[in-house]
Amino acid sequence: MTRSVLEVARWEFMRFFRWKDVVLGLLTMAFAGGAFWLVSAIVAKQATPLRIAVTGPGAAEFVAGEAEPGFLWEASTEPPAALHEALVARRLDAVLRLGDGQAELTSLRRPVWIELVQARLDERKRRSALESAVAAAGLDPAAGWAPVALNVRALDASPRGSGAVAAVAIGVALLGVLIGNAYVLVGITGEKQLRITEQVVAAISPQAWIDGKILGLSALTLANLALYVVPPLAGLAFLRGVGAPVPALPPGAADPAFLAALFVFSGLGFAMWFTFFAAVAATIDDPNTSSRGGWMLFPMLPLAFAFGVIRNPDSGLAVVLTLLPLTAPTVAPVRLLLAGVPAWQLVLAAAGLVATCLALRRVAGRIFELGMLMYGKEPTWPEIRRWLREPR
Amino acid sequence: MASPAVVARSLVKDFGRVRAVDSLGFSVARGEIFALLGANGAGKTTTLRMLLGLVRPDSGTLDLDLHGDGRPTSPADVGYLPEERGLFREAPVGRTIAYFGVLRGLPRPQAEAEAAAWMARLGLEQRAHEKPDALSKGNQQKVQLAAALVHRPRLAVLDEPFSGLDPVNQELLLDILRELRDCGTTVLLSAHQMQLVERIADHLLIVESGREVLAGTLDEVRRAAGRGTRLRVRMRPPLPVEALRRLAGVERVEAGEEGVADLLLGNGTELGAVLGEVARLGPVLGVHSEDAALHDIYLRAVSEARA
Repeated sequence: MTRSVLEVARWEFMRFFRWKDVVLGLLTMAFAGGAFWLVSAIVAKQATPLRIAVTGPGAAEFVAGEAEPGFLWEASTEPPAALHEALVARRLDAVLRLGDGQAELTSLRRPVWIELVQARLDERKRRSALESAVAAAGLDPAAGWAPVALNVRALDASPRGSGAVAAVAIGVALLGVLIGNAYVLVGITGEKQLRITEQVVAAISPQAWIDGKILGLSALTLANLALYVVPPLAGLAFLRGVGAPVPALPPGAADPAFLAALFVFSGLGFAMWFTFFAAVAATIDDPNTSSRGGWMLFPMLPLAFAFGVIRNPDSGLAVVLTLLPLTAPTVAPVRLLLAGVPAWQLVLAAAGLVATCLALRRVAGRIFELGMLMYGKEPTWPEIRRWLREPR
Repeated sequence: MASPAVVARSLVKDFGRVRAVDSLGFSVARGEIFALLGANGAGKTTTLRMLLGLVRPDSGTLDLDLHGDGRPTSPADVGYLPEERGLFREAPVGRTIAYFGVLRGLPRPQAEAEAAAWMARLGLEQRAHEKPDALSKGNQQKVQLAAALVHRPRLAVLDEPFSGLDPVNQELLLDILRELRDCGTTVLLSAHQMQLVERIADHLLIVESGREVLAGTLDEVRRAAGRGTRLRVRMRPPLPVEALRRLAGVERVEAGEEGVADLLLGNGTELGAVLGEVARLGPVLGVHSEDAALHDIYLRAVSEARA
């Protein structure tokens, strides 16, 4: 790697990376997280369940069993007048009067949780019918409702990571592509509009320039993601360490092999997509009027395929997507987390990504070389095809 | 005799159906200031871009021997101030100058020291930490010049370096160009400011429609253009205009008011002899002579080429 590539990479990184912004972002995130936690705790502490009195035949059976979160069912024998008075005095939220095949719900205002009451009524009706049938058959109704014990015996006993962690990892990779592509678009079109390009291209080769840009902006994107992902995880780990009541990390979230694969494959993926988009950006004259900015969304589709892998990470399609360069950046680490991936597949996927980056680099370098010196108009696709055929 | 720093032979460049440069050839000696003159669209910038490898000529050759021993030219040997120029908006100008120094091959500490030295030379030492938008257009122009020269190149290619500068900064730039020449740097510039170019350029090349119109030193250009000396005489009216036109060595007579006439003398014409002949035609009340201005030569050469 030449000195000028590293120098451009350093320049591009420092051009957009500002400690002040990072600290401000982390403080904002910490403040927002703290505020959310505080408000949730206060709401949880102050929230009182909805009190619903149930009267009529079968009221005791209706209120038996587990209540829905935020609900308190109470079988009542109070006369209707007393219940009405309690409703008006807001000691009750509603009164449910059960009848034969029907029910009546009385409340001060029409409640928003009617569907939940309807579901409980239906479930209790079915249950009562089943219990009557089971009893008539001389069987023990309690045994019928007991859950079936399911024993899982996996031949491969290695632990699996959480699907939620996989989904977050894919989301972070997508976010990285969006952030990085925005840097590429702003950086390249800005330089074209500020007429800096000729001075740079006269000093170093366009290939060195694009290489340095890709390197610097990939590093910048990884640094940005790390700064917004690592501190919250470290904060959670610290809080758990000191015994604070915070939820445990899902399985696999801190798995070193997964994190390393995520870092490597995301980095290669960023390099691949930023190379592609740098070539597109070099053909854009004015980002305010060009329609080519939409190309930055192009990587979203193959990367998002990884969401489909979460449900069935062992399928043949998942293996194919692991090896394809366009999908490997997200599918490979996700499969590593969820299913484990043979080493040969990881090596082949990484090699494919590197080869794609190198091939794309040559094509993008050529487009970049000519596009960056074209002011005032955008090259047409036939013109770009002609550039690619011309010898250097 | 040392080999020239730059030799261009029969350069041709077409953009679509437009021929921007047409069989252009020239040679730039090492350590001289060479000025490329021409109207807008005459092919100056295209020629400079071909010289820098930014544009490939359709035919013709360009040879650079900046070391004098045939060694190949590296980016560190060349400095370039483009006509279309700008600065990184989000970076302090001192850092931008140092960045270009590093891109041109200087170690970072040296690039930073040179950047600081250039900022001081240009009177901008207090503004190194400011961003371009905080500077006037003229000061931005000076920063761009520093970015082109920070690595002390052997060849400085400056496209319209005077544009945007006030008279004080134009003088500063003239001083810097002289210093560069004194240090052995070859300067190749394009400009429209003829009164500045004729004070600084060792060689000129006037182009029109991509072709050479006139070339050489200022004296050679004057001779080639036939515009050696302008002699202004004031005689008692009426002016003997026809007699003045018939005088040997007088190429043209422009009659003015109050008995004033401008006589354009051909190169090599002896001024005293012409004055003696004029005195024979009538009483001479006043005399003033000056070399023909490059501005006049340029206008005439270009208009003749267009005709």
